[in-house]
Amino acid sequence: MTVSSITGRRQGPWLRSAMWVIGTLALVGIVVPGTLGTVASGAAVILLTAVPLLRVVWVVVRLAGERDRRFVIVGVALLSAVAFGVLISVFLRG
Amino acid sequence: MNVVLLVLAAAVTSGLGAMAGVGGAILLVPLLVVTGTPVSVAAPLGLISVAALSIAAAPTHLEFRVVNHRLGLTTEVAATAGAVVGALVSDLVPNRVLVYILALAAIGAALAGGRRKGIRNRPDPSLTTRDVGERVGVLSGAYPLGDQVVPYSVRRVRAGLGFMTVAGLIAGTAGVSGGFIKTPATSELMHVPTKVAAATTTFTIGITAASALTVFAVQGRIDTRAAAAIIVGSFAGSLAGARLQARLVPQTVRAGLSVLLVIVAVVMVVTA
Repeated sequence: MTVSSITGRRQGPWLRSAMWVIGTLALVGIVVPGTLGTVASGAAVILLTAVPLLRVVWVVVRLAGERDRRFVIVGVALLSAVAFGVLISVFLRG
Repeated sequence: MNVVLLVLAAAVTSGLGAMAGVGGAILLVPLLVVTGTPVSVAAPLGLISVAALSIAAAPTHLEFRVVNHRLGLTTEVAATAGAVVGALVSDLVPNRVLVYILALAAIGAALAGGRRKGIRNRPDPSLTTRDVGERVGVLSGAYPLGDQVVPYSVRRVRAGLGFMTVAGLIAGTAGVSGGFIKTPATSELMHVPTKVAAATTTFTIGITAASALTVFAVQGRIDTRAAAAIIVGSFAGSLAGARLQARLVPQTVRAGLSVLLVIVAVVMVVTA
């Protein structure tokens, strides 16, 4: 069986960068009062939520590059489940 | 909520959670509720802690090549479906009932993890560091253990998916990661080595948390200032915990996980 090329060499550095950006925004959100702090806190939360999902997208793209169709379908199904959940919650809120 | 206390609570609980691969929210959420935070506010904050831990621990786990992304995606389809449903119905579940279910599950997982002795997957001398990683098209792989390489195959996938759905439901309703179910289920039921199970679970709990958080955000249930404090504390605690976890031997990780789960169960019953 072929060893997958999906390793941490590319994924690790951008995740580390994302952590520092989110951490800095969160720190600003704690320390700075007023609108700037609120905006920074909000941005930190949005990025924190987006990064795990972007990581899935990245893995799916890499799987497609390896022509691993079975797991590309699994990844797309996962992202579809997330999207479906958001749509349902928006619909129920409305 | 006191920001300094939130940072400290998140740091300690995330550090412990990262070491065991279960996420810190299983300790943080009961702590917040005990100190007077409403469950409806504590649950999203718990998931913020989970997502932060997942991101902070990832570079270390990736460096040691112990994350199986294919396994993570597969189990996460079930967990995310459960998490979304859980987040949508979270206001309807009586808190006390949920806490007792959580405590029972945690004790069951602790017994399952603590019962087995020794290492199930043995090193293969014919394998080299070039064989480390996951395999294309299947759920198996190999991971490094000291100077040796240990191959593994995933078993009982359907049963594992059932446990992941339950873990997702709990994550969506209670704001904990569900990692305390995912890691033992992946390790004990699906026969994945503990280190790989813990690292892959840390990858997947971030996705579960993000899925439920998007629902909570739409519902307007996230206190962004408190969330910022949790993020700062969780990043600090998770970095320290992940470093330690990657250097521990499998038996130590498993024993630590079992002890942590019993503590969690007692805390939950007491707080209920």
